Amino acid sequence: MKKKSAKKLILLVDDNSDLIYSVKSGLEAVSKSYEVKGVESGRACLEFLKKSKPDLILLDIMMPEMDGWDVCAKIKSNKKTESIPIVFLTAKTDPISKGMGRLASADYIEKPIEIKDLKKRVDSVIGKKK
Amino acid sequence: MSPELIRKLRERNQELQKLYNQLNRQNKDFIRKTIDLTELKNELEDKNFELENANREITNLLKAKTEFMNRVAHDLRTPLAPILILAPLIKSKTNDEKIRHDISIVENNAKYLNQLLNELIALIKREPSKSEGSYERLDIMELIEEILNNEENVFKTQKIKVARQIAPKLHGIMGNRISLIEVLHNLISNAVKFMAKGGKLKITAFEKDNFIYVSVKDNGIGMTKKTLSKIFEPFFKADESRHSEGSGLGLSICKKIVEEHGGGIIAQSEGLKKGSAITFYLPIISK
Repeated sequence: MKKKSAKKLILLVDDNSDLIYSVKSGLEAVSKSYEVKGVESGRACLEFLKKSKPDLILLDIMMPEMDGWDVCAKIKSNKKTESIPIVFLTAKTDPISKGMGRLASADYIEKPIEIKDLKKRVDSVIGKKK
Repeated sequence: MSPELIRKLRERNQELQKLYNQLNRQNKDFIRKTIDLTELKNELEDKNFELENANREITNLLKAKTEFMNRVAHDLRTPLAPILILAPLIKSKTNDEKIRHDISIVENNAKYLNQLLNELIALIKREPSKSEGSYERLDIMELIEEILNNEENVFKTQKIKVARQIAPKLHGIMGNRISLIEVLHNLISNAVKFMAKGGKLKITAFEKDNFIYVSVKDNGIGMTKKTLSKIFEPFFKADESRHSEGSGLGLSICKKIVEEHGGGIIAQSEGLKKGSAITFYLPIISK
């Protein structure tokens, strides 16, 4: 019997619950191979990573208490999570953030973005990870 | 001692006294001038200190302005993301034409708002000096080839025929590569927008009187004299009915960029349906 390939788990970290809802709805609708879980803070992300290892983290930058830069640094400095690809998904489009973001992560995606374009970028990163 | 010798000694003494007095006066003069120079030096140092403080304040204000604009841009872009993701999703879940039509209106307006926001922020963030990016020696022909490569897909989709007429051995210019590519992109996008499919676009470049002139010419809808007089004003649009096709900021951004480079920009058209040409000029650097 042919084994069904497991869905790829994408962890979305964003303090905007509407954004989490729309990205989850959108990505899961355009791709049956993705399951999206959302958390609304950097702390919640680190807690999640203690129990689960996603295939990709979509990470917002401007969040209260712990911003995306801090979250990224903590993930990359932990041997258990350092190999998880991080993609910044942010409305910060200034050149310095873009430059830093591209150095620190697998991709830097600017909001707003159409779902089909987001899927292409996610496919590209997850495809490279194999 | 003879009287003659005494007389000579007296004369000599008087001469020496005169010289001594002269030297004394010159010395006092020198001391006075030294004091004046010291006072001037102190004044200059005070002025320099004030200028440094003012400069620091301006730098801090510019930094605060940039941070504020980044924050505003971020906060205005954030609500657009769910709209642009969910609108096509909702459309895909219904065959009801009315609902699909209404959602398209929501989607198109969100896209327009996003474009307007990007251009507005680009216009406001542009610094009056050269501080936004580094200036380097550039070859205008290379920039033209780069932008034409970038726009190749657009030309193919719109079946636009592109011609080039670039004079040989053009001098170099000093400029910011990203800004000048933006100018060329805006001019070409504008030309394509106001041309029918299958239209003709011509890019020319030549040198005259220590300036390089670059012209983007189309055979599109053309402009009236009234439009020509206002075309570089922010938010001005020749055709208000095409509100979803641009914010009216592209050409004013071009004007700002070329003027920062020490150049200028002009628009020409023979009238409606007779095409347009937008020409910008930039100072050359001598070899």
